[in-house]
Amino acid sequence: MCMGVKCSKCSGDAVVYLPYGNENLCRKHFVDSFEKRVRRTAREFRMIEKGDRIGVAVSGGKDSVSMLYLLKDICDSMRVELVALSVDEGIMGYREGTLKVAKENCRRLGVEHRTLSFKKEMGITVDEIARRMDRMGTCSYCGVFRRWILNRTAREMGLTKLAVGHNLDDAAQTVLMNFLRNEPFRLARFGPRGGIIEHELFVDRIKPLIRIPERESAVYSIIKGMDIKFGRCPYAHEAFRNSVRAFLNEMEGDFPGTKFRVFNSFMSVRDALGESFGTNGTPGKCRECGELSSEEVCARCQMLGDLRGERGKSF
Amino acid sequence: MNGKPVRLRLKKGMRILDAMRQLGVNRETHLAKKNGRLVSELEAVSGKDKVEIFGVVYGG
Repeated sequence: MCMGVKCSKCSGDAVVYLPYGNENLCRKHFVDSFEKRVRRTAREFRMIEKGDRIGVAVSGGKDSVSMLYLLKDICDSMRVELVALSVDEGIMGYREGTLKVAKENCRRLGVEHRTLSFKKEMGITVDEIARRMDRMGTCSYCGVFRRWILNRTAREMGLTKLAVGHNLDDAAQTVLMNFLRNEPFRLARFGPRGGIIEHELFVDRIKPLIRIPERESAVYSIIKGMDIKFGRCPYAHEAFRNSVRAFLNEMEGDFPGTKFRVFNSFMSVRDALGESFGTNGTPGKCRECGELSSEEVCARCQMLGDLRGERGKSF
Repeated sequence: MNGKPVRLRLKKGMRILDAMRQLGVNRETHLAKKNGRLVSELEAVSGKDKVEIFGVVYGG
């Protein structure tokens, strides 16, 4: 029988190796490290403050459920209210399972949970959109619709912030993609906190996992017994992001710490990007839905219009 | 691997990380269990072990 690898901090059996720190960690020390990093990020960017009412976007995947556990703990210690919001995009054979995980974990934690539906709010599901679009385009519709529903619901519920499960992998990909596309102006509004803009119609986004590698939120979810099904959305075919993801994973394998360095480099020039490209413009209201929009008609309403036009009538 | 059985050529002192390389799997996107227990990929394996390597990084 082979001897097991031991934790770098104690004599316990290691459950994970973190190449960027060249350390093996046991369950206890990994959980301590993970939670400490999330708490530090939340504190550094003042993500949760007294008087807040926090909404957590919970898809039922490892990132959002791990975030829910951490935020529940932080919010309880600060006596801050927490509500979980899930979106049912209508993806047969995929979303039912993750929504069940979201619901079950909210029940375990005693967190109020609401499910919002594309069919009810938009009149169309992602499966129906995909039947008309090529699969590549489906993600764009889904992303715009999901953000629209979450922002409007969070605002109507009087939530002050909306937590999303973006992790370090997502952040490093976004940074690199925007440089590769020569669209650095998009990064002026990107970061651990904030989003489009400060505006009465916009609920501030917070990203407590932004310094957590995706692989580690999987480890955390397994240790905590969250019963997550590791799988991807059947429409996740965004070619450019997939290429950037594969490149970053290759780089991280060969040069551990690459994702942290990409993100930290971005953070060190973020203020300069904000000054160069401006983040203080005042968007107006969409003339159709009344939500925040930088154009006369917001992206959600334009997309719905396109879909209706394709079909020749309303759905 | 990912729920499907595969056989590997074992060498003395082989680690899970080496098995991942043999299978063309990136350790950044996968985790491993040995005999049902989550382990570091630096863990050594023998012919008696049942090793499960599974993908966990999908994005989105």
